[in-house]
Amino acid sequence: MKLFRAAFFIVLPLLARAAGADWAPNITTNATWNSNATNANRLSDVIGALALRADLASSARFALDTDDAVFAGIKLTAEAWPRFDGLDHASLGPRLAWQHKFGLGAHAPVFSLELGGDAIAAREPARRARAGSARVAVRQRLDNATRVILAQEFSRHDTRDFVFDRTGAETSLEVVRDLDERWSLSFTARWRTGDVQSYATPPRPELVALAKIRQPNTTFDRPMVVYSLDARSLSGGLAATRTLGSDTSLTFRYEWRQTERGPLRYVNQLVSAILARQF
Amino acid sequence: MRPLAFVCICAAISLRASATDVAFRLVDAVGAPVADAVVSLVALDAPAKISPPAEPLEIAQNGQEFSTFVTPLVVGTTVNFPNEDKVSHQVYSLSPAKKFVFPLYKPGTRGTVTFDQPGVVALGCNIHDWMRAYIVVLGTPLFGKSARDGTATITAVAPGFYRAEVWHPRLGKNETREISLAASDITARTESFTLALKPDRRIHRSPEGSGGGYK
Repeated sequence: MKLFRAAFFIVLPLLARAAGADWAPNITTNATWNSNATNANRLSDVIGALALRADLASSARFALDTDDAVFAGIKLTAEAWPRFDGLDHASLGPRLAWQHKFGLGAHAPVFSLELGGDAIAAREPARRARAGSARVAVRQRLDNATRVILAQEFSRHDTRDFVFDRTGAETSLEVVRDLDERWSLSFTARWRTGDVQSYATPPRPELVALAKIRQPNTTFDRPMVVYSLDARSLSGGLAATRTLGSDTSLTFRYEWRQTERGPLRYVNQLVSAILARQF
Repeated sequence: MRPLAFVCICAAISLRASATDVAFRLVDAVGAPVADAVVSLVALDAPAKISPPAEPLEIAQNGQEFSTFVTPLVVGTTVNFPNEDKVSHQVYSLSPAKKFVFPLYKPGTRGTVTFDQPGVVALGCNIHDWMRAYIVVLGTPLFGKSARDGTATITAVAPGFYRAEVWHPRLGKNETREISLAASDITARTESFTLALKPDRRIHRSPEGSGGGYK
């Protein structure tokens, strides 16, 4: 709760005040249906759930020279799960990025290195955490309507309870094509290796053999065990974005994701509606 | 001197009296009016004298956009680019007709460029990729820009042979047509063009929503 108070009474007014400078505040609201919030591979354990999320971010641009710039900012996130409020959380943390543009113009490739850190407050005390991430990305416009983004991200999520810790490395490729003045289509492929949490009703000896750590859990309103294990995920996402004026967009997104480790294999299907506004 | 002056004045009056307006009506393939097209008349028998404006023109940056999308002007015209925004800009052109790049400049400052060669100059901002504007540098003083209703008028055109040219950012190649204006043309002349425009491929400005993520 201290985090929320700090956010609303200190951070937001500072953001608003700074909005008049070279700052670029933006807000993104996201409603996502996750077909398998428990990351389970047995049908009886698969539980779908809706997550509502809002991200408020702002960064200031500092030019180093013609080709280089540093972005320093802050990001506030709140996520609510109406059916399973144990997953509710909020985070606040700084963002720092260095961007290099290889030449002049919109079609010059752009390299960026982004660092982020968050303090995470959660309704379930065991999920309170500190998180950090580093991301390198290269963006290239093929023409005015098509761009490709290749990224590699390393992230670490240290919770109060070890079972919810997550360390991962993710490679992603995104291709975005503007169809006309209003619509654009994007395809994203991701490959991730790292920790995941899979929930299952015991007994599951095959998961016990795989898990680094396990713990009883009632987040999903029934007695389950959460298993933390190292797994590989492959996902493909398709999104259609419609611009609503020059500073707002609405995106509909579908993602299919398969995660596996030995005998464990589960699929998540995520359907999202995302409203983004740049101030 | 008196008879010569009299002849000159009479010739000028005669020329003025016989000058006519040339109106352009521009539509696309489906008949919709085309705005922001530059129309010009290039004299084929006697080149028209060009005199750039004494005062610089102005293309401001405001709301992270250029104040005008298309600006026609004559060779030798100077343009100021004041930053009236809340954020810094870096205006550039990679067009052969005029290559330039301003250093990053803050709100309240400006850059200045003189356009000394005919051609199309595509302007951009190196910070805000969606910012786009065009300057059409012309070697003729007879030009206009189409309004939202797709019409443009070039006034007081003297009799003679001309090449009418139409330029638009979404036109692959200029539309041209030769026209002849006789001294007896006392009513406004209307030239209609149907333009085969390419799709609008400007870079989208609106933010992108991201999704996904692992838990």
